[in-house]
Amino acid sequence: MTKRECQLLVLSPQARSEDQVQRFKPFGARSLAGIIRDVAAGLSHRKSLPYERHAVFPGFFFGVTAFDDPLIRDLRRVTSSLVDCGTYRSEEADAVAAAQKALSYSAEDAPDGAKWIVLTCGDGCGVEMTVPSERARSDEALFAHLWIDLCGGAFRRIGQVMARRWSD
Amino acid sequence: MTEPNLVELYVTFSEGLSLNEVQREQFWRDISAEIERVEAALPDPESATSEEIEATCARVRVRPIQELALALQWQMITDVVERSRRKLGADEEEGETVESKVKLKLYANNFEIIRHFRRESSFPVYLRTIVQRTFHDLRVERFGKWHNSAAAERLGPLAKDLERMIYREGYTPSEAVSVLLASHPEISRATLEKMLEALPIKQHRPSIVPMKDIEDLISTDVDSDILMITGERFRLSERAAAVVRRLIDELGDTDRNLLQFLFERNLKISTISRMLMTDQKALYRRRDELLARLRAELERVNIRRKDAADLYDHIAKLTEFGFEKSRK
Repeated sequence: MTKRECQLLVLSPQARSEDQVQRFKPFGARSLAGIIRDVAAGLSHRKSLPYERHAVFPGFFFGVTAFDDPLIRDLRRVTSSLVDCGTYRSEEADAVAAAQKALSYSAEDAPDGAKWIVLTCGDGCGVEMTVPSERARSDEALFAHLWIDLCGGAFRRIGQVMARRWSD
Repeated sequence: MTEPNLVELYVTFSEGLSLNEVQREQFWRDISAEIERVEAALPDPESATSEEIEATCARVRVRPIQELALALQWQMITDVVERSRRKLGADEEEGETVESKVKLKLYANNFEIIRHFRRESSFPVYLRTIVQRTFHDLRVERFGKWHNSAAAERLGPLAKDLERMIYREGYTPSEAVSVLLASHPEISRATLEKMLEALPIKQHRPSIVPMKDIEDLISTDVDSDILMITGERFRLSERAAAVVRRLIDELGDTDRNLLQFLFERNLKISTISRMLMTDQKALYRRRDELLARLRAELERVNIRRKDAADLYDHIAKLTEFGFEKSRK
């Protein structure tokens, strides 16, 4: 993992290992790995980017329940998170509680918007996140969120102002 | 109220304007490029305030998101207009005019039409409605509102089509009959001709005609200008009108009516034939005989064929031919 990689914490009952994350299709069509690849390729023309590509954080997946200090320290360094809303519907209570704990370590002490969390939700569920987050309901939306991730904070803020302007 | 979200706007327009997968990706790239333009124009993007970003957006003239999405659907607009044009039997000029008007409509009032699109149908269906209304408006603008006659209403859809084709779309009666025979093989020519006879005569409204369609009809002879400049045209008109009046005085009612319908009301022989209940061929023969006689009379007073052609409109405007007399 290099300095130019944007670490992405992936939480989903369908992605319990690095191997499963590779095959994980958040909305059943495009794989997360494929979307990550396309985003990096799409932005390869940009000269100055805070990050070159996403790298799935390998230290924590759904199902892990034990935390030690190094893991907590690493989770705090994670830049972005992708949470499948299915996580909250899982009947594995311990795993769900651990996932929430990992998410709160990741978002801890982060200034507003500095740690980006995207809830992937294809079924219009009413899950409310306890940390600041946005919702993606399709592969296109996820692609756009990950794109913004690599472009950094200024890009995100300009995008927000433009969205307000375009919505007037 | 929730804060407007860039990604949600992107998804809303992608779905709303029915962009395909490739177009969606391009759409996002275009949005991103607009953000990058603003970013590049800011002295310090990382610490810029919302007001500074807003001012920079205005300064670099950020393109509206609707425009970015529409630009990707430009071809769709052309395709929908073309399909509607064929369906409505409109000509290419009408199609091009409608396409421009639709594009202007979509841009008008900061994309009001797109902003008001409630997604109760797909965008192409919504666009088709806009295109068809624009065709309708253009026809009303050019030809006035169209109403079928009571007779056509009574005779049914085929009679209404026949009437519309002849009096609105400019088909000759025989062309209209042929077109309808092709689309309704179960109907006989005799039935259509009978229908045609039952329809009342309608006057065509004055309409704008493209110059290229009539340039052959416009005299380019320099003699016309000379006649106008020297005032000779007025004198010639008077002489020609006197000849015409004398000839008309000598004619019977049928011949007078024929000339009146031909030159005063610009009716076609086929229409006059139905009005006078006279055989078309006989009317053509009679018209040629009357014109030959008129030409001979004009030549006798030294009005050449070329002068007479130039004078025709002028005479018609200035001179009482004597048709009124026949009505008294």
